[in-house]
Amino acid sequence: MKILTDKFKRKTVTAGLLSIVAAIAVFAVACGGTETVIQTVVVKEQVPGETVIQTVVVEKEVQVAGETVVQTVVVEKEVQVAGETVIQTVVVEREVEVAGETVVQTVVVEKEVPVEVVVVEEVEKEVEVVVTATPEAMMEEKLDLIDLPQSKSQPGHVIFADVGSALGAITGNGGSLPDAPLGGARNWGAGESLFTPGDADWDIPMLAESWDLADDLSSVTITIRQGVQFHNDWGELKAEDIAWVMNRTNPAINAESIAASAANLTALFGDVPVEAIDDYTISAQFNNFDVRWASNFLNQEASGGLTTIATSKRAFDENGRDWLKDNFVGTGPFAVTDFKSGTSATMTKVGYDHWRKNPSIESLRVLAVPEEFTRVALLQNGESDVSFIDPKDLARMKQSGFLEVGAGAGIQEGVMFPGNLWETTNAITGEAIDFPSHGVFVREIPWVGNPHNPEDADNPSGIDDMEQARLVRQALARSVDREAIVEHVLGGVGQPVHVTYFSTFNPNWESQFEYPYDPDEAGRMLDQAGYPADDNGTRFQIPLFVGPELGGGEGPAGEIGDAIAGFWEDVGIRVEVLKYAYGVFRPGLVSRSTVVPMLTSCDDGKESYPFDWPKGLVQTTLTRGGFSCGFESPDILAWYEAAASEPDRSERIRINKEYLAYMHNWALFPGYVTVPQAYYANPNYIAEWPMHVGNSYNSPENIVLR
Amino acid sequence: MGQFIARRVVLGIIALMLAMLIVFSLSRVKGDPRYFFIGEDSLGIDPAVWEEWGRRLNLDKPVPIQFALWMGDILTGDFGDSVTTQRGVLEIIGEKAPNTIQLGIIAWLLGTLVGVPLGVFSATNRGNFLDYVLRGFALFGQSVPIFWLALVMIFVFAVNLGWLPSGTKGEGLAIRNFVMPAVALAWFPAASYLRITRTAMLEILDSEFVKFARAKGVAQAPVRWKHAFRNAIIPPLTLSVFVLFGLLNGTIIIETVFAWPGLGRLAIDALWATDYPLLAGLAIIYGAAFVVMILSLDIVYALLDPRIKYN
Amino acid sequence: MEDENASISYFLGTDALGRDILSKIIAGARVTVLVVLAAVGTGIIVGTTIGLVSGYFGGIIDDIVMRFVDAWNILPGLLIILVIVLVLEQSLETLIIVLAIVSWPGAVRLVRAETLSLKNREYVALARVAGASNARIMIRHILPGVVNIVIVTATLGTGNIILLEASLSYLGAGIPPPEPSWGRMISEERQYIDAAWWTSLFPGLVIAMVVMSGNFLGDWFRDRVDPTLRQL
Repeated sequence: MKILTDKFKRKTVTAGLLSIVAAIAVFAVACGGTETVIQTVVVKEQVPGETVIQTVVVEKEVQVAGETVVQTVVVEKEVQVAGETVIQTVVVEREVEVAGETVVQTVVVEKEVPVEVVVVEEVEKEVEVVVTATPEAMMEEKLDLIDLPQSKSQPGHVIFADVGSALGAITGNGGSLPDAPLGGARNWGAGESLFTPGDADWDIPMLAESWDLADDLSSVTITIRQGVQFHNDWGELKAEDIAWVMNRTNPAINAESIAASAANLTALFGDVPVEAIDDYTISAQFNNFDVRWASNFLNQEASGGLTTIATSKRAFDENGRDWLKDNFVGTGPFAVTDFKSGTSATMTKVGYDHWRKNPSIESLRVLAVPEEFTRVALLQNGESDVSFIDPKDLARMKQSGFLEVGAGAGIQEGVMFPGNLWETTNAITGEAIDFPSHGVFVREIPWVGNPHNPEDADNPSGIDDMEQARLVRQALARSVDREAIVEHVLGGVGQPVHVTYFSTFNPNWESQFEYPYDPDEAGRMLDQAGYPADDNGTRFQIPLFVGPELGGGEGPAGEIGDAIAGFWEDVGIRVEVLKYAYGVFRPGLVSRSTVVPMLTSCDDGKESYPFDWPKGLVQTTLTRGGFSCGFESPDILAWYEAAASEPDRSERIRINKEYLAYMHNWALFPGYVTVPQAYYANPNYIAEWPMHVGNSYNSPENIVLR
Repeated sequence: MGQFIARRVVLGIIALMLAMLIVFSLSRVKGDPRYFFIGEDSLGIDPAVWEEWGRRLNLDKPVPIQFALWMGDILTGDFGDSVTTQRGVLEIIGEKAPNTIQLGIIAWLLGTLVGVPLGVFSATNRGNFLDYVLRGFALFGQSVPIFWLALVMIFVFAVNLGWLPSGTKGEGLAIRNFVMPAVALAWFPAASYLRITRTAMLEILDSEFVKFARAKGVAQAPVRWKHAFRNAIIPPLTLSVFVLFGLLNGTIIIETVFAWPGLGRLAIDALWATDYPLLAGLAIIYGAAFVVMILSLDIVYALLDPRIKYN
Repeated sequence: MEDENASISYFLGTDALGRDILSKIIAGARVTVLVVLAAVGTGIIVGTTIGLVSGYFGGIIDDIVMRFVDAWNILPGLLIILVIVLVLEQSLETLIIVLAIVSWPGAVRLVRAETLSLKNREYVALARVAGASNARIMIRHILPGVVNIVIVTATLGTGNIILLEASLSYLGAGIPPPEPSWGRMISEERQYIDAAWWTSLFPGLVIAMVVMSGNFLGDWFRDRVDPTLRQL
């Protein structure tokens, strides 16, 4: 439970048992009766001699039956000092009845301690026991609830306080066009794509009406909807508008494009432009067919931020590139009427009958507010009607009665282990990869397995380097109490993840792929792998990159990283948590030269993503020259390519289960927790805001006011 | 005097060019600067685009030439495009600058109008209760982190009392939205002004000519204002330029807390996004503005205090 | 959420994870004070050396040094510090370096000015006539004359450096976790200002008190060194 202790230590002066009793007793008196008991017990033992065995067993039972909380804390210690046996037993039992008035506390202490000991060495041991009753009961009692405010907005107008840390797109979702980083358009109901996610399938036609996929999967012809109007009298949407957007975003055709994830389009279409056959039909040649072409790449919720949102080509031709940077001409139910880069955007309901849905609100104004405290204050004062809320405040907002709205989105945070470069040929070029010269294998890294030269000096007998590293990664996956992180870092919202890319809520998920929290098993695995604890209890050192600390408002990744590091430390692994700009870390990933584990969702770690999507593109040599999860595997390559070209969904699910079993066994990318993306609305003003499944908020046309 | 100003201008230009050298060097510390100039994309970038950027940044040429070309671009007003928004750096700065200038000037006036008179008051009432209160305020004012002060203000005045809006610049000329950011921003300068003015005032009040005037029987008030204050104004005046300049440090924090759409927020956004052209542009524009302010100060000095020699 | 208000065993209450605020403040003191003193010390030593050399030798060396000091002074400090942290990666060492960078130009200016006035004094001229080397003159005759003003500035500046570290922590660029620092304590606990005000108030007050002590100490020291500056 190192997570809870942080690094500071309360120091007591003398040998420990009295302090255990004292701390518990004092604390019990101090807070007797409350449901939340936090006990910090510090044992500082002074023992002589060479043979010292200390066993500290802390057991706790928390039973919540109705309103009675029974807690039992048993602490037993055996200290063997130079032949003489000293047995110390401390039994502390407490019964706390919360609702009633009786508080029964029993403290039993038995101890036999030698009177005089010569101090040779000081051993410091910190035991912290956190006992909590049910979170619900705790929250009701402890949270400082907020009175629901009356909205200060003009009737019909909605104000939304978003994070907006990214500059151009105030929602930080990348660009629809390299020239016009209005990535927010899809969230604001202003931009529309060919396809949109539905409840089960993600390839529900939006601007597309129908499509015709060639039998050999070499091309597709898409018929688009007729009569869709661009905002501000820019005319009807035509096929050439869509073809133009796609070609302009594809860097193989427009070298100026540095739109996020643009390389997805290059992978899909190569350098063959998409053509407008007539006013309402486009035709595209696939370079590498991927079954996600409609459900992801040409979708409203495209991954990595790439969006091919329909934009008027005529507006661009007449006004030029610079104009496009400040103006957005789309087809959604709202038009962007005021856009201040990095500051705010105002969307106003279009003046005509929209083809899809007429909004019931007049306008939506999105403000970029980086400071969480201010976003809560705005909502609390009725100055904003919806605010993005950090995980820490979620429980409080929920308890206060604010309306939770969201798209079911959650970011899975896992730790990927770069340096495991197991492919021998570059899947793009077909050239052999020269491994002996590759830097990642020069040193023996505990979490990196070398399949090219599996016998090295430090492997225990009977275990090759691959197995050795597998055991290490398994231990790193099993030594973390995911529930505790959800509870204490995420305030009880969010849920554990075991293998990144796979939601545990998915019906296809199987509990056999969980990594149970078992530090003892992890310790045994590390022993087996040839990393026993040394005299200081240290097995080896590991760095963990958790992304930029700059931009602290970006989410709880830093705290999750600290928590994981704390659990790893508990099994004897020294962790250095690295917090700096991703831009500095990235070159090592691109060149495949880093071995530093990174806390990330690695592109596709989204709770909402379908189980059957091809997994692991960025875990192969297919993305050499660009981003990757840092490890490459020929098996993953085979599964990815099979799934990507497999039209049958059940077959893709079967393939992905094989991939899942492989990832679970090799533990290349164990997941830890999912961080929910949640927004809270003022229920006195907003009655409901249904959204389609997605990565952020969307569909403000569905907002219903009271 | 003309020669003096000419020399100052030359020195200012040299300082600005060296400042550019510092900014340029920072982009080269990690080797390939392209990582600072190309936005993050999750699946990598086309090699052709990568090469294109190499050409655009003149990476094929020796580093001193790279610097010279970069500086040449900047001197001709070409600060390049922001990585994240693909818009001209100058254009973006121009868009945000008015918001920061408005806030900065209000905070500056507030700090001056509160700090200087209180400093004079404190000096002329030296040793009594109010003097101690004011000195305590000055010390405390210089001792609290302003982000903490700003958050407490939001908690008290927006959340608890409901008197003022919690943040943002509001629509149109929303004076109420200015109050908290301006006060939080003026807090530190006001305390500095108070201390400096008080010290300067005491020094002058202690000087021979004021004692002489007092001995001559000139009344207390004229002594304070006519003789002492005119001479005591020089240190606060010097301070004021540095305060104005130092407000940028404050706006970075204050604009983040209050969601104020100005240059401070812009700087932080650019930093989070590793938007190097924008960061460099901001640093250089600020440097240039400061050089101009110092030059003006030199001229005002010369007019105010004939004792200053020009060498 | 588990914030406990003050009790007997947790004198200043606990934070969101049940950690004792007082313990954190004490633990934070070690790192914060260490970083700040290391930074101020480094900055002052480097600045004094450069200022001494620059003022003593004058000429081209002096020109170059002073132009760089000018250049540094016209750049927006906090922004450049943040960029340096971004480029150098966040660590204790980086932080000490950037905070030292903040301190040195001021020290250079001060020491240089003092050196300029001292180097023409008679006793310096006599030492030179007596054949003392430049290094000896600088160390034995000029340095003792500038050391007072340097200490005064360093004491007064320490408070500002602590505040700067707090600001950097707020922006996420301060002393990196898991080391506890005062700045980060306030920063991390800021969201509980409404629910559990003490978690950020106490570290804030501690910073204020230390900074004020620094200022008092600086004022006192200055009065001792130069009574004409006494605030009466």
